[in-house]
Amino acid sequence: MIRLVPRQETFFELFEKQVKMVNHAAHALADLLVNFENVEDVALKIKATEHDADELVHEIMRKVNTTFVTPLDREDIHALTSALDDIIDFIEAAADRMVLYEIEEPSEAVIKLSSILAEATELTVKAVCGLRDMKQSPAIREACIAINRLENQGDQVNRAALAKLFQMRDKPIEALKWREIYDHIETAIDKCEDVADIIESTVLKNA
Amino acid sequence: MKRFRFMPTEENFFELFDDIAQVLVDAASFLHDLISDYQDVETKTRILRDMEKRVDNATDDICRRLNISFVTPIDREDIHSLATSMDDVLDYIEASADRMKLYGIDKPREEALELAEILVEGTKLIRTAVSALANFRDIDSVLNPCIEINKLENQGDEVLRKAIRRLFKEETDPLEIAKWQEIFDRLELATDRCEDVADVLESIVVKNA
Repeated sequence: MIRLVPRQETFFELFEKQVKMVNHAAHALADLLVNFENVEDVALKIKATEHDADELVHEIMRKVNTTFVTPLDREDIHALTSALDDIIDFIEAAADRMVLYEIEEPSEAVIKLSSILAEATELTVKAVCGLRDMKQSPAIREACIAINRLENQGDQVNRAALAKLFQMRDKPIEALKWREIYDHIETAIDKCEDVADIIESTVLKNA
Repeated sequence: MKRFRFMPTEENFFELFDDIAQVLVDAASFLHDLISDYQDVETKTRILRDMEKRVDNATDDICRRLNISFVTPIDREDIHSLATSMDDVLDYIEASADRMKLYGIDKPREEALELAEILVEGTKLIRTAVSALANFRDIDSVLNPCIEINKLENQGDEVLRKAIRRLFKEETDPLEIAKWQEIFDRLELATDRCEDVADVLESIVVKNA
């Protein structure tokens, strides 16, 4: 049979697309900080991914507003897509600041933080993809718990890094640059936790 | 005997929103004046704080009426998000001015004025969209200003990047850098919050179209 109207992507498909873009950007940032080559190009690519992800948010919002029966509560759909969008916004901001501040060499802490972030987005992919089949709730829960653990780890790395930064009394301006970059990455990890919280409550509600 | 009303009156939420939108425009213009004519900072920031309190009260008022109104013109949660998102814009406008005072800024940096201009534009667009919402027959009269607000937010990002680049290039005093990093951040967040208002308005009109 020929389809006259192209099949619309489901909410789950759109979320999966969005979270994969987030994960892609997080890995691009982590790789950038390990290799530290073509910083400007990589930052631009991350910006382009962020832009594509923005389009998806709009698509999801349009869909939620024009769909009569949604598979999840409207406000949960809205909260989930916004939180996913926040993650990628902070990833983009961190990459952008590396360029803007003309960072010459990544610090140990930034490499560590961005790898924690990449791991957290990996788990976020798992959690979001689990939504399709809520019977997998143990697997979703596991991913959410792991994200929480990573968030704590991120906090600790960030705090230790800040303490060290403000001990470098001879380079206060460098410290201010790094503080902002750490802050962006740490916030991105926090937003992964927000996604995990939303997913957990959605699963409970639909159990 | 207590009298029951079978048809509770519909509160005029739109009028309340119009009022708040007008205070947002006033506050943004006031911030712009403060930055372009940087005198009597103490008095001017106090006036801004009063405006902020007024909107806080209006927001509380809306939320309270929401609890007792039987019929609302648009969904309850939309009224709530619209009120709180407008409140957030003003919070950041006020916080920006407050930081300038608090940190004893002598002379505002150029880009602060540019960001304030964007905020004046943005709040005017919010006012246009909000008043179009009250008597909305065509969806575009609400959507068009929202699209403009989105563009302004991108412009705000660009001004922020320029501001930060110049700050780190030209300023040698780390404390000044730290102060301005925070002030610029607040100003830019205010433009972000304008975009949040636009998002709420967009979803309201699409839903009620």
